[in-house]
Amino acid sequence: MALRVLVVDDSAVMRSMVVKVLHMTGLPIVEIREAENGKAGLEALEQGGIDLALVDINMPVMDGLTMLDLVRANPKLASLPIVVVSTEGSDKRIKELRDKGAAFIRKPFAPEALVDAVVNAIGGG
Amino acid sequence: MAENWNNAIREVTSKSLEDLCFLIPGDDTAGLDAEPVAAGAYVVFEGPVNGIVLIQMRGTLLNEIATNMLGDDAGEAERRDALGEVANIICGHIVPVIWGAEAVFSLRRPEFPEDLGVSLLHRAVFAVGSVPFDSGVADVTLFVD
Repeated sequence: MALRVLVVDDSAVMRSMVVKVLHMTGLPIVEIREAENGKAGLEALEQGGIDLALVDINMPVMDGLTMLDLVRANPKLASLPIVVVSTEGSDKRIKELRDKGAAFIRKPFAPEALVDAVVNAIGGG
Repeated sequence: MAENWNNAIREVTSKSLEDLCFLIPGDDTAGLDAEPVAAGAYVVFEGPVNGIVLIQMRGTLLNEIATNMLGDDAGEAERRDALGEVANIICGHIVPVIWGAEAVFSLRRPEFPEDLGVSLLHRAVFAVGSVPFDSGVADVTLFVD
């Protein structure tokens, strides 16, 4: 399975680090797109062709939780695997994300933790 | 100010910088704590308690962080972005340590004050911690409203 991944984070540094780690994982990734906020991320998803999204929570314009809600409310995107990558890791927040069908990984993350989260999210775990 | 919260700040700062950019804390400041503050950022958190986590870096610590995260060609914008991400991560990790993992906090985007003096912040100091590295010192202060 060839994977097309969208990385949504307002920090260019963090996007760069996530992209680097994704390239190191050995996962069959053929394309990585980037977006700097939830609105841009949603627009990228609506263009189609994305198999998985890694999404930060705390972003300007549109945060990751709003983006997640809009994705789940969109019939064409509702089943898209999403991994939330954030520093906000309260038990309640993680449960809320899981209830919305998203996986969670906390920053800073080890490369193997990102691989596990991605593999589980796409159903390979 | 409880000493255990000061210890918690030091531990979170050490672990965050080790995990994020492979920096191992030193045993002493080697005089770097007398260096002027070279860079700073803060993150506002809101939840059961509202406040700010401020990180200030002395020496060339930020350059080392940016290089470890991005390579030698990190420019000013990338260093600033890296500093904000460090502040965000430290804030995101210290707040649940102090107020519990059940509490939900929202973090705002990092801010970069022109004047790095803490007097700007008008809040009470809840805990402070400094962590020395070979290239500089990270001073972290947690203020509450």
